[in-house]
Amino acid sequence: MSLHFSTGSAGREILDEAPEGGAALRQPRAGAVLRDALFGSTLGRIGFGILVVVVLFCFLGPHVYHTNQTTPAPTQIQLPPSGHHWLGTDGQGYDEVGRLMLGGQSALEIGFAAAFLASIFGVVYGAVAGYIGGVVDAVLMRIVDVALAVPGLLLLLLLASIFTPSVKELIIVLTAFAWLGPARLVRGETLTLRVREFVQAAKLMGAGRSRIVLRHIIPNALGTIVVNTTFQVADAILAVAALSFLGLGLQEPSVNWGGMLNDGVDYLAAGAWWQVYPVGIAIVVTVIAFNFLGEGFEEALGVRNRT
Amino acid sequence: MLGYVVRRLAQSLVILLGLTLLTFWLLHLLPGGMAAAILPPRVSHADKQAFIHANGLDRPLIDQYLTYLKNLLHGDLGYSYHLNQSVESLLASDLPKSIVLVGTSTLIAFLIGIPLGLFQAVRRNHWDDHVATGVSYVLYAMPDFWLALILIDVFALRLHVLPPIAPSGASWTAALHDPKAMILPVATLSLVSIAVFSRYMRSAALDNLGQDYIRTARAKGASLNRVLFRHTLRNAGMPIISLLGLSLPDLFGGAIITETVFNYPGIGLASFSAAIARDYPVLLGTTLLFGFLTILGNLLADIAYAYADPRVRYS
Repeated sequence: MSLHFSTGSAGREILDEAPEGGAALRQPRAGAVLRDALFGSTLGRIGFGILVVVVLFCFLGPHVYHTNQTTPAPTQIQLPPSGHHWLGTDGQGYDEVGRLMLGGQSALEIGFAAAFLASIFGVVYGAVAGYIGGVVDAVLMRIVDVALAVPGLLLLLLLASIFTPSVKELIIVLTAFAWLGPARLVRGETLTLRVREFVQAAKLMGAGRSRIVLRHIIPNALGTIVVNTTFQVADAILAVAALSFLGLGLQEPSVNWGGMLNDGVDYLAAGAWWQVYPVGIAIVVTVIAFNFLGEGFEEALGVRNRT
Repeated sequence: MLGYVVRRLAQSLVILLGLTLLTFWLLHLLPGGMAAAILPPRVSHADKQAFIHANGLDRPLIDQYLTYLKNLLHGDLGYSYHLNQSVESLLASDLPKSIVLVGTSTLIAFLIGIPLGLFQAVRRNHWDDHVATGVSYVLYAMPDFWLALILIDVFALRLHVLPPIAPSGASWTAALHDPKAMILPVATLSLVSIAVFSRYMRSAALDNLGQDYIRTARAKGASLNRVLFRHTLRNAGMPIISLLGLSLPDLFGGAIITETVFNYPGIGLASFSAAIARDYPVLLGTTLLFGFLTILGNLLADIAYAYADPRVRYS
């Protein structure tokens, strides 16, 4: 009898429904799970739709809407929206639409990278703590508790003031904070999974610790992990924006949404709304897309968790 | 109950000790070591060596850590050469101002968010529930600094009804003397919390409304209001206590942003200025303080919860 599942909670449900005698278990295909996750719920469909639009705007947009984003244009500063500059220009004469696209690229890249790294690290950490248990678990989880007691933004400020961040360093700094959530979540999942029959069976068959964690525990917690990672992308995008808004994130000449808002503040009193409202809307729309997608995954994969 | 309290207290002490290890480690992680972090940038080599020796920075790490702990226990959080002030006196003068801001905002968010969530649960899937859910989704995704800018733009710059800057007096009573200037900062912080509380309350109330005891109470002739506020609120509202404890770090993070945007001289603004100036003693002092308050808040929330719901103590 095959007791190997690779598709997260969808597989778990089938195990729950399996008759006692152990009839052949059908393994759900990854493609079907993905389709359900993306299109199985209204929120997921909306989130996915918005995300496609945002990605096309940021990555395909610059090929359609050509702007100069490399040299300041002193004759073009602070222009209100017009047929020539759809959303006006900023204090250095850069076109705002073009800047939104570039800023979106870095927001999405950093958000994805940080969420992905944080999930990988957090998942391994949490699974090891939960599976080994005892003193190791207690020590590892107290470390998480300590780091979680410090406000995330303060930790980010501290790290960002130590390392003036480039894109790579910013991803590391964000990861240093973001792995805590998945670690706690996966540890909890592991505690319930390690006593399940299929893990016991694998153990009896002589599987080692690392094989059990990597081949049995983590794959079965995959639903929870995917949902959490999706929310993490949204959180990371917000965190980068906050840090850059405070002037401690990415430095010039790199373009990012938080920095654009920081620049725009100075001109708000002069009525330059186009430097403040479109950027904020871009952040909110992107974050909502990931939150919807996460809730869609939650519904479709049948997991319920958010740290 | 006593056993539970002792257990949670011991756990909190361990986390607190871990927190001091974290700040101590960060202080040593800084480029140039602890002396470079504490001293102003243009200090002569001889002065630096003298400082290192006088403060025992050439002694073994474990000795240094024990001294650090001893100083902390005496309320000595270090000295900011940047501000020419001890960190503890800075925190002592700024903390009350942050407490006024965060406390008022949380209270308001509570008074609006909880009834709103209950109301949404009763009206679930009606148009008004959909509107409220939509608004809270947007608020939930909205960066607090952008929300603050919108409020400033609309109410201060366009309508001219409220000042764009918070009261900046040195004493915490400054906020009481100029309540109008507190409206926008408090609104910024509480709007986000309202979204969190109402979303939580809505789903907790929905879980409860379907249960038998609600039907029994209704069948016995209790009015809808009585059922909602006496029965549902008590059961669904209890986890809110721990939600409040858990959301403390986010509230403090929100205070950093809000105080910076509105130039309100609390701990949030102090830590932002310290980060810009690389004033590490202040930055690590605020880290310790926020961490301590979070640990304390979670401990109190857990004890209150265990007191209200005996099932927690024995699980």
